[in-house]
Amino acid sequence: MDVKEYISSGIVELYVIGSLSKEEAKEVEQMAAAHKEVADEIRKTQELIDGYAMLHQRNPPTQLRAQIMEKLGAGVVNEAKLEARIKNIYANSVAYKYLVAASVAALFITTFFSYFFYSKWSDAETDYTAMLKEKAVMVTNIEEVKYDLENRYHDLLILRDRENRMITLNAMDSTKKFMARVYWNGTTRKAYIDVQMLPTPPDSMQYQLWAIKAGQPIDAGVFEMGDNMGVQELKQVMGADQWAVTLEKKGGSPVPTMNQMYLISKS
Amino acid sequence: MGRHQRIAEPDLIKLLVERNKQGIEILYDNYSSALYGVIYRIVQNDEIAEDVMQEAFVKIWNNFSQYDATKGRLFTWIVNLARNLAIDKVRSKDFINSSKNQDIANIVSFIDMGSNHSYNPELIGLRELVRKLDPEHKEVIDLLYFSGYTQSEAAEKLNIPLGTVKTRARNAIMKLRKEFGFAGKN
Repeated sequence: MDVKEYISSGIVELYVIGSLSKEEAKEVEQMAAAHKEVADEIRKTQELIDGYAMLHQRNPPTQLRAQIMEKLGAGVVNEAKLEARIKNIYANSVAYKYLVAASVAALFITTFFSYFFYSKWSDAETDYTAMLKEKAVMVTNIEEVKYDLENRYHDLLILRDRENRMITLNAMDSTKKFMARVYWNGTTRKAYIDVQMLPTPPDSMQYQLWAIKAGQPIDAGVFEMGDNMGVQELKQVMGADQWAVTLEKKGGSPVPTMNQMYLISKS
Repeated sequence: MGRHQRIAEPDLIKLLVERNKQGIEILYDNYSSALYGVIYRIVQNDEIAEDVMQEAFVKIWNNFSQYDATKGRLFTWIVNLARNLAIDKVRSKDFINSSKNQDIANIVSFIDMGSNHSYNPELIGLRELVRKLDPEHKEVIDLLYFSGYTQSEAAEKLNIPLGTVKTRARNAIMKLRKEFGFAGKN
C-alpha cells in the first residue's frame, strides 16, 4: 500500500487516539517501523493530542499529593530500626540503662516534634504551591480577557468613527438570512467588514468583498470566517456605489464570479 | 511556574527508573493537573477522579520499567495510562450501577472553555483553534479519546458510516495541526 495513501486514510489519528483494536494497532506500529513518514506522522499527531489533553487541566485537591506519596512509600524515615540498634549496643551495661532510657525518650520527643513541624511545613508548602498555580490560572484568564477586550475595543473604535459610513449587505437569495455590514472611511478610504451571517466556506475557498463603482467591480479584499472575528480591516478603495460579496478560491480572484454572489448592498 | 520543576525529560526518566522518590514527586508537580484534568473529564466526579489518580501513580511508580522512551514521550505514556484507567472505571460494573453514574453519552460534551484550568500560555492558541473546530468533528475526537470508544462503537453511537468516523477524526486533527503549527516544530 502506498505510504501517503495509508497516512491519509486516518488510521494514524485513530491509532494515536487509542481507538484501534490490538491487531490494527500492531499493524500501524509495523508500518511505522518500516516507514519513517508514518513514524513522523504518529509523533506529530501525538504532540497535538497531548496538547489537547493538556487543555483539560484541573488542579487536584491539595492533600492528594501527600496521600499518593504516602501510598508509594516515598519519604518515610524508619526510626524503629535505629532505636533497636541503640538498645542492642547498650543492653548489657547497667550504667547505660538510664542513659538509654533518657536518649530513647529524647528520641521520641524529637521525632514527635520533627514530624509535627515537618507536617506543618509540608502543609504550608502544598498550600503555597496550590496558590501559585491558582494565581497562574488567573493570570492566564486575565490575559485572555484582555486579549478579547482589546479586540472588542478596536471594533468599537471603528463603529464609533464618524468618518465611517455603514452599509448593510443582504443575501442575494432572498430566502436566506445571510448578512454583513461594510464600514467605509471617507478620509482614509479603508473598508472594513463585520460578518453577521454567512455559511462556512469549504477549505479551498474564501469570501471576497467588491466595491462596485460605475458598474465596475473593484477588489476590496478577502476576509476570514470564524467566531470572534469581529470587524476586519480590508483594502483601501476609492469609493463605491454598491458593495458585494462573492465566494472565490482562496486568496481571492481578479474578477468576481457572478454566480457565486452571496451578498449585495442596495444601490 | 510555581512548583513546576524544570527538568530535562531524560533526567526525569532516569530518576524514575532508579525508583528515586524525587522522580515521582517532580512527575506529580509537573503533570498532576494535566492527568487529573483528563481523568476528571472522563469520570466527572472528584471523589472517583482522586481514586483513579492514586491508581495511576501507583501504576506509574511500580510499572515504570514498561515505559519505552523509543515509542513516545513520557507525557504520552502517563496520560494514556491515566486515561485507560479512567475509561476502565467508567465502563466497570460498579460505576455503571452507582447512583453517581451518568450515560456515557453525557460525557461527550463540550469543554468548559471558560473555567478551564490551563495555565500554559502556549495552549491559549490551541484552545482558540479548538473553539473554532466544527462541532461534528470535535464530537468524534472526544468520543474516541475521552470515552474510549472504538471506531465502530463511535460510528454506531453517532449513526454515521465507519469511514466517516475516520475522515472526521483525521480532518479535525489535521486542521488543528496545520493551524497550530505543530507540524513545523522539531
